[in-house]
Formats: sequence, structure tokens, C-alpha cells
Amino acid sequence: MTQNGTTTPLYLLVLAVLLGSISLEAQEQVYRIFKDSRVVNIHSPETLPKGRLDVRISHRFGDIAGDNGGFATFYGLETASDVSIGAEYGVSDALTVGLYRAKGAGVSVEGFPGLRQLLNGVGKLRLARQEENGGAPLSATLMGLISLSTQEKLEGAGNEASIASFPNFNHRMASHIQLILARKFSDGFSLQVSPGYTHRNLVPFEDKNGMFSVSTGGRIQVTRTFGLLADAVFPLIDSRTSGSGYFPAIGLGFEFETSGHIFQVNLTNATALMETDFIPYTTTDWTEGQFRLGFTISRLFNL
Amino acid sequence: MKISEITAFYLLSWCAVLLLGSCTSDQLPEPMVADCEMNAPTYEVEVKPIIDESCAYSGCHLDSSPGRFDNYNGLLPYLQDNTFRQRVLIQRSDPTTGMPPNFAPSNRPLDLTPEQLTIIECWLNAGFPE
Repeated sequence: MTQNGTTTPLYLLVLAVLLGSISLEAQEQVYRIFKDSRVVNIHSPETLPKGRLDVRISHRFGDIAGDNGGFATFYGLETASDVSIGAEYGVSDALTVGLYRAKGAGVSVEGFPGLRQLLNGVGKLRLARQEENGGAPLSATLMGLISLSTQEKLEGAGNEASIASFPNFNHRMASHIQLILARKFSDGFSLQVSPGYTHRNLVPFEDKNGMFSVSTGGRIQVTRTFGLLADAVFPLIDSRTSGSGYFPAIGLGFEFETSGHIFQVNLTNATALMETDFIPYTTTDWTEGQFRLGFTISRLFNL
Repeated sequence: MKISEITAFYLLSWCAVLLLGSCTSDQLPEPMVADCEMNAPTYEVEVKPIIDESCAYSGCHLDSSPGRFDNYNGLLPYLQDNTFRQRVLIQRSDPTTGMPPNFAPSNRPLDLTPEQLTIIECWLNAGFPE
């Protein structure tokens, strides 16, 4: 090889490697912005890997304090406001679908129950993943939820003002959709913001069927397996403003991650577990002691 | 996005279109208020038989659930703090918190009749006379 013959290809090779490494670095994606598919009450941007099954059991106890709490109910541990059991499955890395059964717990400000005995279908589609080095700054996931009440229809006089009177089948349904925008700012801190829209096909007297909301959530990684969580949901509708008797659903919690398990313990004023329930129907107030202990157990299986 | 994800996205979109097709925007009527002009029930005469049959039996509000509802004084705290009205009238459509609950024994009522509900409502409105 001549001197010229060696220097030119080497120069090109080094240039190619440099360009290649820059290109590879630009495509480096950020994984696990949150450790779980939920923050406290709301969904995180996380979808399941393809072929992964996530079996989840969630529980919300009764009020810790206030009129319905205290020692009489052993600080809410002897009453259950909502319980949910179900599973989600990763159809692909970007698409997760799930089915849950939940008791339902929300009540209107007059005290009338919302939908009960719910079947809940969940779908999550990952639209974009956060990238490092000048790539996409945010992860984006679209989440949809449809709730269907299987409660027996209430017939007869005196039940006309009850949701469970179900004048037609569609009245058993409520739905929610939200766009989850999230960013992992460092290995220890992630944040998300989610505009959402909830629609109830049948609502109590003088309530509104559709409502926009905005929610936010964050996570702080404390140790390799332990993290702190917080979230809040703010309905953007006149009938849910301060003084209306409705309150934003606010959750605080922590989670442990073990091999294949995530165990979350939380405190929240939301009585219900599904967005179609706790966004329009949270009438419990942190400042009145109407918050509760809750937990979620998540177990992952590879199918 | 891969082909399978694009296909799934279209499937989800169609589901959303179907869901929109099943959307209604309906509102319940104003809750009716019982006409109590001709109805002045008392605990001993009209109300106690209803509560004895539907609440104050073994395994429920007699020896198991909170409160002993086979006498007026046992019932009184739940009348005064409004819990009785909440559970029996306002939340009655809730399968578990509405009283009587849907898991009541088969030989006990799962719901009060419209006539019984009117008696209870008028009695509470009148200040639950003994």
C-alpha cells in the first residue's frame, strides 16, 4: 500500500465511525421514565414490552380521619372504598391493552352514587419515546379507558334520578382519553403532564357530560429499588371549581420494585380507582381528613 | 412505527369511532321530594317494622354490623349524623353501601319498596319522631 493509499481510507474510516457514533447516540432512547404504568391515581407513559402480562390488584381503604374515619373504622382499614383486579398485556412494545373489574366508588356532591360494578377496558399507545442528545425531548403516550357498569338496572318509581336507572344501555358507559407527555430529567427525577377528556353518557341532575382535565405527576428515585410518587388531577370545568364540593384527586405514594413485582403504597383523597370515576366524582377533601391508604400490587409475567 | 403497530393504531381508531357512535349526553331528572302532607309516620308505628325486617336481624345491625337497630336509642346516633339518610335514601342504588345491601340474606329484602322509602323520608324530614 502506498502512503497515500493508507491515509485516505483511514481518515474516511475514522470519520465514518465518528459520524456513526454520533448518529447512534442521537437515537439512544430513554427507557422507564416511570417504573410502573401508573403514578398514584393516573397512568404513566409506560407501556409493556411485547409479550409481557401485568396482573394488578389495587385497593383504596376508607377515610383515615373525618366523619367516616378515626378509631371507629380503625382509620379506614375496616372499610373499602374501591377495589380493582385485572391485567394488561403488551401486544407490541408500543401497544398495551388491559381489562379490569372495579367496584366503583365516586359520588356526586349531593351524595348520589356514580357508575358501579365496572368493567374497564384500557388501551395505551406509545407515540414517541424520549431520546438523548438532541432527539425527541419527551415521551408521548395516548391512553384510552372505557368503563361499562354491569349493575342491575333499577326499575320502578322513585329510582328515576338514580344513575342505575339506566334509561338505555349506553347510559352504563363512561370514557376517558388522555395524552401523556413525560420527561426523565435525570436518573432520579421524572415528570409528566397529561391533558385529558372524560365523557359520561348519563350524569346527575344539572351536571355536565363532558369535562376536560389536566393532570400532572412526578417520581423521585431514592434508591435503586425505592421511589417516591405524587400526582394530581384538576378538572377544567365550572362545576368543579373551588367551593363546588368537588376536589382535585391528589395522591402521594412510594413504591418498591423487586424482581417481577412492583408494590406501591399511597395516600389519596380519591375514593375511586378508574379515571372515569375519580375525575368527575371526587368529593373528598384532604383538609377534612378524607384521605385514605391505598396500595397496588403488580406482578409481571412473560408469556 | 412497525406495520403491526400502525394496524393496531387503526384498530384503536375504529374503536374510538365506535365509542363516539355510542356516546350520549343525557342528564337525570331532578330528584323527587316525597309528599309528606298526608304522611306523618312515627318510629313505633310505621318505621320500626320496616327496620326490623330490613336492617335489625342477626348478622346485620343487631349483632354484627355497626349499631343495634332494634330500638330507637340504638338508631339515634345514625339519625343525628345523617348516616341513616345517606345510606338508606341517597346511596340506595349503590350495591354495597346502599342499605339494605345487595348481599343481604335471601330471606331478607334487597331493596325497600317505594312506599317504605316514602315513609322513611317523611319520618326523617319530620325529625324522626319516636
